[in-house]
Amino acid sequence: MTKPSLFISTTDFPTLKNDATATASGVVAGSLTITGSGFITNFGDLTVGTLGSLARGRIASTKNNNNFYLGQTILFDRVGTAAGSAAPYSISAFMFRIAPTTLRIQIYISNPYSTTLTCEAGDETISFHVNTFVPPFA
Amino acid sequence: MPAILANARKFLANSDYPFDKVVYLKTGSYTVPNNTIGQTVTIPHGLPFTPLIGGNWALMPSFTVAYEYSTGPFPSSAAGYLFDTRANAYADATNVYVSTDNLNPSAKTVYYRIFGFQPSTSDADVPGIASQGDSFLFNTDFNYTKLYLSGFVDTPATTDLSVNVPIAHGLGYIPQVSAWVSNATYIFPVGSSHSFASSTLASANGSHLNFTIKPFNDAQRAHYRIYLDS
Repeated sequence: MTKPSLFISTTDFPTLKNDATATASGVVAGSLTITGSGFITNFGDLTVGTLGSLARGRIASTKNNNNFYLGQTILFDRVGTAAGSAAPYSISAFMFRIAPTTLRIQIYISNPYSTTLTCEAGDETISFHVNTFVPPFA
Repeated sequence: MPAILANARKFLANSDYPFDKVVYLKTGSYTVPNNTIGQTVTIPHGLPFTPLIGGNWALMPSFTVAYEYSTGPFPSSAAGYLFDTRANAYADATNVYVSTDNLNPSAKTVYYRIFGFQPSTSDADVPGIASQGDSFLFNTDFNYTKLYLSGFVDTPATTDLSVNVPIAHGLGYIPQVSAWVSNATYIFPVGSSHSFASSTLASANGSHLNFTIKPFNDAQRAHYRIYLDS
């Protein structure tokens, strides 16, 4: 038995080995229109990590002071207009691994209303940062 | 706050800062029926504390395609939701739980991999677990994240919808951060389906880690780990 906190390093316990880092960003244009109950999405692929690697991700938007939010799925709350009224909606920004060394970053906006949604004015840039780790599993 | 050795983050490892030790590892699988919400498997962890967990999951045992918890495969058509199948993981004092929503018309077998850290609130003895995933205990091909700060903040039960808690780190750049939030029973990794409206958030900039905790009618504790690495 060992108190792990007493040691800088100990061979009794594995640690997470950081093998790669990648960044990417995409622009969401202002005042986009989305048909009723429709959606728009776009994605890009990053070559990062190894088979089964763990990811520590963070996502930022210029409309949220470029603070990087911890997580692989962030829903940025926005307010557009639909049928002449204020219409809250979300910009979903997320990342997931689609192949051993490929991480997909994706932005998805769904229109929850039956009428056309006009998104918020003003472009925003959404940035993704990911660190990957060799899996400590057998 | 410990002193920062200049450019310490440029070292693969640095004995001024501890390695973040993995004290719990678990792998397994279970089947989730089609169109099912919250199918949960309960896994006793046997630790004298609630571990701070992370990991990933897959729909194939090889983990050739793998997902972090709270994400999953994006549906191939306009389904109106983000993920066909999504697994989440969380823990309490005795168990680790994997909970899966499967909106796909077919049953799915979920393969999970979970690791756990010891929280800063505990200095309990822990049985060692040998490193299993790599042939080398130390391998200079990789960077070993240097644990700079770890701790927790408590927020009492209030009727406030959210409470902002800044944690100063003063590094001058955006560091790697891990965070978890707990209520009276469970600890969840922060990073699970964050909605600004409903979920506790953790964000980092060059000077602070900022929690936006949602303690509405419920006391909460947020655990954090800040690394020198960016």
